Amino acid sequence: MNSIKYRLVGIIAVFALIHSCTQIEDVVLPPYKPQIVVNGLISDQELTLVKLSQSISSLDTNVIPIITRASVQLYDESGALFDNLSYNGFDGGFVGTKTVQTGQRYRLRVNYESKELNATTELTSGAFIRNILYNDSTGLDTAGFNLGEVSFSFSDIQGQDNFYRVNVFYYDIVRQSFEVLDLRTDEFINARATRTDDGYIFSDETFRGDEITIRAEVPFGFVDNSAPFKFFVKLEALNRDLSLYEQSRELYRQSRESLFSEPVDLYSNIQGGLGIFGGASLDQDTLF
Amino acid sequence: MRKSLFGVLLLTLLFFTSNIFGQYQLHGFVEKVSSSEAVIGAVVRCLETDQNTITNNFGFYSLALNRGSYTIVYSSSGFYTDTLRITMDASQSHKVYLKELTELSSTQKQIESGEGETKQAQGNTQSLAADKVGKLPLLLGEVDVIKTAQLLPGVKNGTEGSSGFYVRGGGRGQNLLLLDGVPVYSQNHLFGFFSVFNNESLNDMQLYKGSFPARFGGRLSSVLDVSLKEGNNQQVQGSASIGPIMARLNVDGPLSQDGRTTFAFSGRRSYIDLLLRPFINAANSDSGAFGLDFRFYDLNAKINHRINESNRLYFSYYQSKDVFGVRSSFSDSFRGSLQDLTLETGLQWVGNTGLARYTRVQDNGIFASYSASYTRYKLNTYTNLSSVTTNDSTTTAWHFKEAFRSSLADINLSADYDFKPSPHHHVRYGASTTFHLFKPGIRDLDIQLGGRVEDTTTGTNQNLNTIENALYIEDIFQINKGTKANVGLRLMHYGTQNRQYFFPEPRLALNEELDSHWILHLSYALTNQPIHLLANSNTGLPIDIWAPATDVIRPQAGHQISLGLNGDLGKGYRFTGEVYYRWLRNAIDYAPGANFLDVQTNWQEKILQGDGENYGLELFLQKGFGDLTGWASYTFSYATRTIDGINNGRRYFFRYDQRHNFSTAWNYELDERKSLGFTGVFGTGFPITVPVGQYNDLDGNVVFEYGSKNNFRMSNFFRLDLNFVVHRSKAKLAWAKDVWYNFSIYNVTAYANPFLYQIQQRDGSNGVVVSKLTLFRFVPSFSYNIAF
Repeated sequence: MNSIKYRLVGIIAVFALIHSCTQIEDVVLPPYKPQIVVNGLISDQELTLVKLSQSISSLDTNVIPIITRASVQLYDESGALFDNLSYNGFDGGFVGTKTVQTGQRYRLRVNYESKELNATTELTSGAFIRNILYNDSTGLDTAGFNLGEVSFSFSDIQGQDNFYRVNVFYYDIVRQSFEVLDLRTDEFINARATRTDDGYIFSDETFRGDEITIRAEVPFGFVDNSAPFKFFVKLEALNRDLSLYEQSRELYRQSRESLFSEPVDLYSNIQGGLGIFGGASLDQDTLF
Repeated sequence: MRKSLFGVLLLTLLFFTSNIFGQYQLHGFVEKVSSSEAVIGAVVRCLETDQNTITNNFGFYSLALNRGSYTIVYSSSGFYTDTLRITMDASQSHKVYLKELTELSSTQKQIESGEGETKQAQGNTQSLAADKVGKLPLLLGEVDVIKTAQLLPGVKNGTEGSSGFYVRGGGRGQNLLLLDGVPVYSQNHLFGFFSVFNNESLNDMQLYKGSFPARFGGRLSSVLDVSLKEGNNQQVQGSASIGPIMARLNVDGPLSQDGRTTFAFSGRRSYIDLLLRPFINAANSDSGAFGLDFRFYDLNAKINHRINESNRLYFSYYQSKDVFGVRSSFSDSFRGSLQDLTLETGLQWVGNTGLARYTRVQDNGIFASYSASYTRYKLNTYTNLSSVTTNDSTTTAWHFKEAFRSSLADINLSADYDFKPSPHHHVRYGASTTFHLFKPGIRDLDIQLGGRVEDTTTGTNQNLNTIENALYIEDIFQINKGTKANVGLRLMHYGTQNRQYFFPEPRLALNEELDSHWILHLSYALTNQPIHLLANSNTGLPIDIWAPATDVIRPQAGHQISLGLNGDLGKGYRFTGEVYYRWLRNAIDYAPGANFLDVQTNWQEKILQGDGENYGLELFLQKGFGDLTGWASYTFSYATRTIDGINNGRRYFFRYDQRHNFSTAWNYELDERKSLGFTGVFGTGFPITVPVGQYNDLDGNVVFEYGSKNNFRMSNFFRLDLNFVVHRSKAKLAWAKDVWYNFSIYNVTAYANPFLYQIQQRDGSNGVVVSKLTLFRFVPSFSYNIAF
């Protein structure tokens, strides 16, 4: 009788253990309504490019569908049709025929099936790189080797809020290509700029209308006098929409990597859809 | 200067008030006959004048009576009522001992019902006696006062098994947890599954929701006022228990022959680490070793000394510590080299409180309490990775050590007074000063890797010291025969490095006696909270960081109005129904992308502030007497936030918004030795943020779309628990007073309640997998308890 009791207790204990273990089950989310995604850029140096696609449910394992048949038009400030964009498979999007003007505001209109999406953005005037200089000996690093410094200046465009993206590349003689130089050794960049994959983004809040000089340390061995180039500097004046988009994209990247981060949605200025319609004016220079 | 002026005015007012009426003071203490410990919340009523009062946290009462003879009735739930005939021709002191109810018939218990309790009942307040908590079902054999509080209306538990609680749409950090009047910042053990309060060390617990009296402040949502046992002054006694994961010991008794000095000590320690150690050791081998340190403990110690009948000293100390650490090491040989790699990672959190208090009953009947206290909370996380590689001729080593530290310490001085200047006024007033010493987040980095050597300490605003001062006065007074009011004002000053804040906080509670059984109550309170809890909401980890309000991040403010009905239905049944509306200013939430462990970013930049709106209906039915006792509660509520920079400035549901919650807890005394406990909980799901869509960004990378914050509801929560307590027959007991066994089943129906939703990106294809993690399904437990 006792052995039956003990067996019964044993069976109950095992049953209890199995049931008290953790359990993981997949969750089905509510139905998702796909949205049209517009990713468009206007630039003073390149033709307008607008890529269209559709969003899908986060649980969907399929490839995101690209939209190739749609009406994509660009209107100027007066409301007149400025450009009619057509799909170009090589560029993977709808390409314009005219270069837009700085200081002008443009409206993008997309018609796809029965839906219409609109977005407006302005192409701000560009800033110009001045005085790229390289000094190969400004001090010593912790190992006693020479530290160099590359510097350049530009003047903030007056009378408007500006956002800049800057990137400096050094020429790697071994790889024979331009590589990104870390600009966080510059005090201003370190304190004020958001580091993204495409450069450092900052606003003109602290130097409105003035000239600013960026100085970055160049570690020993980065510059070889026999190389065909020393540095390549890229300066973009982003409009507000593109700046907000890029900063949210960087925040999104960071938050995806951490369990402890709050979720981030990318900034969007597309009415009726997702994505971005932004603009950037570009200036670039090379130090030989 | 302001403080002294305030005090002089107050005392002058009270002096004149008491003399104008030419009354005498009847005051004293109500104590348990078995141990001389204070009976908190006992009702003291004068039959002739219908004047009544309740004892404070020290068992003190005071009545103002004219010359004459009176009948004074002392009653409290769980005790025999005592009556005193007294002739007042001078102020006098009377200590009363109440005898605990033991073996009474149901009829007797109904007779002994605490008449007057309904009249005393305040809206927004719930009381729980520690002995009643012990008869409810347990998780892993552990009695938990906060888990019981979660069954009360308007109180929510957050995640499955958690000992955190959320009151009326407020955050966990908006609850003030007081242990003998000292704030406790370390609120949980074992990743939140158990609270830091050891039930066996507790005497009484009061929960105030939102509209708390003026003597409390500094938080928005609730005050959980927990009183520790003082210790038996007649004999040494104690209890011990052993459960599946922890053991406890409680001892209290007299320290002196005359019983004037008593002590109470209690301690708990988990032994999960000891249980797992043999299994871990067996799994280890020569090439690799794994170690796990997973434990917690807490200690409560209290000493009370009665200098005489009027003067008493109290000293108490509390400490809790949780440790979770993993250590693994590997050895590997490759082409003649031997590499030893060691990884250590873990976290620990520690809480301490210390208190010294002196109480005095002055000749004019004023009860004064002066206290100095210290409380501290400390969180540490660490990761150490080191390697030593040895070959025939050389040894190379590298290491990476990273530690994160956060702490808060408070030093408090306070003076509180309790006085009954006239039959119709019961006044409490006082002042307090608290120094907050914050270290919100410091990161130590020590790297020695190849040519890179780094030894840095980073952290923004590493030391932030602030001060919080408060003056308060509250008066419970009888407006007319059926109307009673508690009117109070709390003046709060909060000083931080660059800014001084001054807040007047009015408090009002009105009780209108509709008839001898029903009371309508209305209350309003404004509260401000100058410290913020930065808690992680994405994981179940109990990583709490406390940070001060500054000139950038302002104190949070909360207003609450509530209207309720409280009634005695007879036969031991009581009903409470209440509606409330709370609105918050400067409510905090994390900014998008904010990582609360990232010390590179100033914590003030991670937080955004805005408005909150909460409202709801709470129903509560309680049966307090008879063989079957318990309650059922229902809560309907809304809790939202509107904060610029979050959810595009649109209103969103608060993380712990729950539309419906039904909770019930019952205990049935089968006979003298056996009792059956039952709890049931049903709640609709809390909102969380999950990605709803995916699309291409500007560079063609796939990104996820969340759409709005807290856009998805977790599944409903449902749980039934059972508890069976059986005491050994008294005839079989030897040296022990009592031995009892506690059998519990947590989640009897094995319903898969959500603990956490995991969001994982699929490997090799687009999309995510959202999965629900369930922790506790049908968890039986057993504990062995002994009282001596």
